[in-house]
Amino acid sequence: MINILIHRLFFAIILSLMFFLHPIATKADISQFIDENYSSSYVEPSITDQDYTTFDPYETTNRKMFAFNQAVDKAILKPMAQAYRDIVPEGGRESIRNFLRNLESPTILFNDILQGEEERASNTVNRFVINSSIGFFGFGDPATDMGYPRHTEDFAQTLAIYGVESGPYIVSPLFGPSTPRHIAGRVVDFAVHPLTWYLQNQNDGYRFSYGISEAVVAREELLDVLDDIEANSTDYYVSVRNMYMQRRMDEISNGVPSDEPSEFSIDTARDLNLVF
Amino acid sequence: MFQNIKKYLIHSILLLVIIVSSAHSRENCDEVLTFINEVTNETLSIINSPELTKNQKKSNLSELLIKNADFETMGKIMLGKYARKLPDDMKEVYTDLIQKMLTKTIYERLDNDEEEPDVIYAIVNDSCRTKGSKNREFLVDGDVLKDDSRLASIRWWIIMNKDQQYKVIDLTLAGVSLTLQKKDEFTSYLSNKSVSQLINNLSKKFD
Repeated sequence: MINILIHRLFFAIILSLMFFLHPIATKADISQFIDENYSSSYVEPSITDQDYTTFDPYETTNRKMFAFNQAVDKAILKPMAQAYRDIVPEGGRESIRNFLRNLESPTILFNDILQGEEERASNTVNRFVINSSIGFFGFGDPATDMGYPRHTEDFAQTLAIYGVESGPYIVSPLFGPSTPRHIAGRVVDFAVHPLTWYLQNQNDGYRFSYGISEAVVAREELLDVLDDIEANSTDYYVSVRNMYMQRRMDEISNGVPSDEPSEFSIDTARDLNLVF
Repeated sequence: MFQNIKKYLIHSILLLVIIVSSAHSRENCDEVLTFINEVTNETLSIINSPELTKNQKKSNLSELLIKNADFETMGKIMLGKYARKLPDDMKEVYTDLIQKMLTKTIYERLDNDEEEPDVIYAIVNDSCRTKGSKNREFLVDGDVLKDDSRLASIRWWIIMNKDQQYKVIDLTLAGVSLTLQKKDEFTSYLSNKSVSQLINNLSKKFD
């Protein structure tokens, strides 16, 4: 069993490395795919005009991958999420969300500990015990009402705490917005997730069901938000990229706004004659 | 000896200036907190209102934002270096579009629980500090509560205008700054398109 897992992990890491290190090869394939199958309104920006701070050196490739993900989403995932919302009432969906979140507790605990967050680790343990028992296997969330609110942690955040740089922005196939640090974190989180080990001995049906359930539940939660962003943005790709980068920063700082002075202020801009 | 007295005097004056300036900032911060708490309370009374329809909520929120937000400055921040390329005759149209865009976006960010009409949101703003070189910009941090549980962090960026009025110029909810998000979008868009094209694009979406 361990051999199988190691082989899968190795495969995932090699795939990730291939994606980072050979963007041109990936770009050519995806470019051809996009050109043949989708109409993209993207116009190549001139490099000299770019002044935005997000580190996105593979933007051309990323945009094509984004278009591909969008097409997959519109054809498969979004209709599934919409159908799930239409069929299952809000109470039922909340229970399913709670159940899946409760299963993430060991991963969160693992990262709480690695980050030296004793209080948050204790909170995660309390939540897991309470929700798994009183909360009926995690379908309920009485822990929040008892003063143990939910938080998230992942290995990419742990790497950030240890000072590992995020690297360039990357849109990965099917998984969407990411960075090398985030992808590496996902691989580790996948490896330490108890269900990864448990499902090794189960048939493919269980594994796919779990993966699809997670994707549909997560997508359903974002239905309104993503629709709003798409409707209100002049460039959906940039909106998603910006929101992803800002949200990740917020998650890494555990939702505590930074004390560092912002790089931008009206007075500074005026003093430097930049804007007004 | 005289030199020492002179040194102490200079240090004392510097210390006094720092203390006075700090007290002044504190006083301003108190005013800013009062201002933002009033805005917050009014916003929540609109969002949480069971009587108001969706359109009424949007309309009331729009009025509140016109009164308390500086859309002109927000629009300029979003344009960044391209602000200079905005023709004079289009400034008003652009500001109007920014106002419509932000009202819609803020409303949708704050009101995403159509299926949970009984949920009560609260916002607690508890810290304030100055920002910028002239101590007339303020950052207020707080928490958004959903049924008494912390839902997300909230940060307001406030500026004191020439008329000594406080105006909101950014809202950062759960780490996502609205103004900086739009700035990123516009900068990318304007790297290969004109300001007029941007205005046309915004008109199609929000007019």
